[in-house]
Amino acid sequence: MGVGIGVLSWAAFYFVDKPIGMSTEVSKLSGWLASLFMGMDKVTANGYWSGTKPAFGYDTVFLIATALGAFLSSIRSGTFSWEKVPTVWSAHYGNGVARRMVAAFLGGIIILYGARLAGGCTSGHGISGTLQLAVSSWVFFVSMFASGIVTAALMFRSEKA
Amino acid sequence: MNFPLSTSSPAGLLLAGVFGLVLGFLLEKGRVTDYNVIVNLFRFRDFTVLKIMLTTILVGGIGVALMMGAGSSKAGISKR
Repeated sequence: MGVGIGVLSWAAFYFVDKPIGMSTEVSKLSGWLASLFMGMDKVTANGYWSGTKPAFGYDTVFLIATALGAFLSSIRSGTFSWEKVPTVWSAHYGNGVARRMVAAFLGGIIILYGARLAGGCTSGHGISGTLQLAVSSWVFFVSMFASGIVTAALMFRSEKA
Repeated sequence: MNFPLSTSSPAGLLLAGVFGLVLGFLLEKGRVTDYNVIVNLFRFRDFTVLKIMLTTILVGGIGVALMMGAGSSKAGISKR
């Protein structure tokens, strides 16, 4: 699978000169969502969104297609299932769906905040940046593992599941 | 046709769809779309994510370095 994604990154760089990435589009989508409530003028007055305008484009198609691709793959291989509470989580925090949803929502906020702070996510920095040997991306890579290991050690301490 | 294509061209958008579908397929097949697989990396129980990332970096990096050497791609560096 890694070989496939590596080859895919060649294709993306060669045909459209774009690194594979996700999080910028998620931020754009959040801007678009905000524009429904406060209007696009107020959204683009924001420092971040003025430079990264929430508009339909290459990244939008890419993000949606990735989710669709994973969905089709899981249907095809029979691994598709509705999992409201993942097993590792339920072994430590029980089967409560609301609790899991709140935690996932907060986690989503933290991860996207971090991705904007770093200027990339697991795909933008972790894959596309590291393979170009960008220093910032390798710093990101190591930091992500360090913080991930500490967080997991604190949150999923016991030997359970 | 000259490459790289404009990302706002119809062909560029079509490629976005193709690349996304392929990426989604590979991620799911590699099981890195699974919460348990991801969290168990950080618990040193399942190294699937690390293996895939390092393979991708190795394979992708060699290709991109060659393309940059051949001058056919700026590999996104110009924009960063």
